[in-house]
Amino acid sequence: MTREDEKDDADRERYLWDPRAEATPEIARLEAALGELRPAPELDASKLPTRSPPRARRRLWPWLGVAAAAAAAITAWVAANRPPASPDAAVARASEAPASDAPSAATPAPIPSATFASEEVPACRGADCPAFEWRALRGAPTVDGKVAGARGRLPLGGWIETDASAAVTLDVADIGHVEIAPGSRLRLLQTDGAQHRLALAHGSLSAKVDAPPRLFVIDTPGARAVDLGCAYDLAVAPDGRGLLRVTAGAVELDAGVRRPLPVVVPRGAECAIDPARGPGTPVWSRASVATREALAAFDQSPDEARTDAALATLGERDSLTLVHLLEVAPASRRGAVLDRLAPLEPAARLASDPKARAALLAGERATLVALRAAFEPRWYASPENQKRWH
Amino acid sequence: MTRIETVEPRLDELVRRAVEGDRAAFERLYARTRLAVHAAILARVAWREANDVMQETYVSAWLKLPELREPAAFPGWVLAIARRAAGAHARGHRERAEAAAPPAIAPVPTLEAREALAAIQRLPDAYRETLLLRLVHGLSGPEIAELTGLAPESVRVNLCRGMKLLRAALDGGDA
Repeated sequence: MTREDEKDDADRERYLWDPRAEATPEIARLEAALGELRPAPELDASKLPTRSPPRARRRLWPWLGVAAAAAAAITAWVAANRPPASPDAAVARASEAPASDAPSAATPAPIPSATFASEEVPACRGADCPAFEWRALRGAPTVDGKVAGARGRLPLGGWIETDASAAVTLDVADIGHVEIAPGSRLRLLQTDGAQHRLALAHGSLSAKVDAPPRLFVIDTPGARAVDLGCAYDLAVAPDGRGLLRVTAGAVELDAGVRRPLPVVVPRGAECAIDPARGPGTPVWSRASVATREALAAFDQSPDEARTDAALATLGERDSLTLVHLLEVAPASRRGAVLDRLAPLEPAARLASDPKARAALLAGERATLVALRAAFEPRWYASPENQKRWH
Repeated sequence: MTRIETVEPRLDELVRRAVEGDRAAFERLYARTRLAVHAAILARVAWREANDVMQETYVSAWLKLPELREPAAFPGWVLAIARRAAGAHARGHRERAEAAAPPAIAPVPTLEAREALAAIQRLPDAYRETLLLRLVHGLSGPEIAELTGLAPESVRVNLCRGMKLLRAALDGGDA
């Protein structure tokens, strides 16, 4: 990128942010054209209809089956995809004994009291406390250690827990709801105009949110799931390992400093989460067992051999995985990953530019961001287009 | 001359009054939220249908307002209604047979405007509404943040990334 390009970018960003700044011709032209669409109609409130008496709310629970199915599928996935005990065994895909660090069913790992954010939230008491309302779908949950009835409020700082026979739907303010499956433990950390935040200590849930991006967040031991406007299933095993599967929109998995960029998981994709290493490499849900095994091994230890093993399973419809692989691959193998991306049109322009290619090989953040932005239309495309792209 | 100072009531107070039937209070709620709602609708439906969906959204909000548990959540709540209404309208539009287009009751926008809107509507969800608030309604980044409840940094990212994708699309790129 030349200095002139950088200046043009800076001028555009400045004008986008502040319409009083010096106009850039391209954006000004768009404003002039799109300004024709401006008139939003006036409201004549005198013509609003008369309200009828309130009727009893009828709720459908379409997510119970989804939550239960998601819990079963995700639990099976976690059990089937335990990290291999021996690095070489993963590369050779040899069968092996169960990992020695597999959690014991008899003595589950302690429930973490701190969240991914490692903060303590004082429990709030009293009728005026901010809270989410919940309703039991079956059984009875416990709230702050006490068995609760058919419905109630989860106050700020409070815990809600379901046993093997209970399931709950939790309203997330007025922006959506979360279906909590049996065997789950969840805490309300924040609810205000800035953000609504939960912590999933263990168990599984299905979230459906209709709100601006980043308003709704769920902390897990290994990563923060940031809603970008979507529906998703999220599960955390007692040892803190987790799995996110997105069914609409997209979710960002934030791992703090463990990755150069947050992981993006769009509709139709999923991502494993490790409590120590954070989110792994996202993959389309249709990926083969071979791809998943290779990526699980790579996520455990991203060395040269595992990078090559993962690359061997990926094709031109795996740009989501390849771009995230490039961001954390060892320096000596980034060229190989980039060469796999280069034939794909959005990457070709960047990869053919010597400076951009050098920046990508060096892991320069700004260029990695540009590469992601180039591919995002593919990942977020309509369901019809997604069949074309991946 | 006596200066009369008026203080705009708080949002939750306006909602309470509107729940009790105060239509003037609802007009004020409309004034505060209409730009964000218009952008949310324009991001999803054809330009000629946006006004109908706006009306449908606010009539629905008026009728359902007593069900809103947190008055302060009105902006996000009415936006959610708008997005659902726009989505349903867009799905219904695809399913209906393409009869002759109804006569436009407003001037037809230029081809450039229609192409730019179509390109924005093909962008990822995260960018569409923010871009429309900036490019259609001329709002600044801080104004968009206040209107939508997004963090200013998120607005900045949405504007910059969205604009890059829009440029690529209008230049004959991927979108």
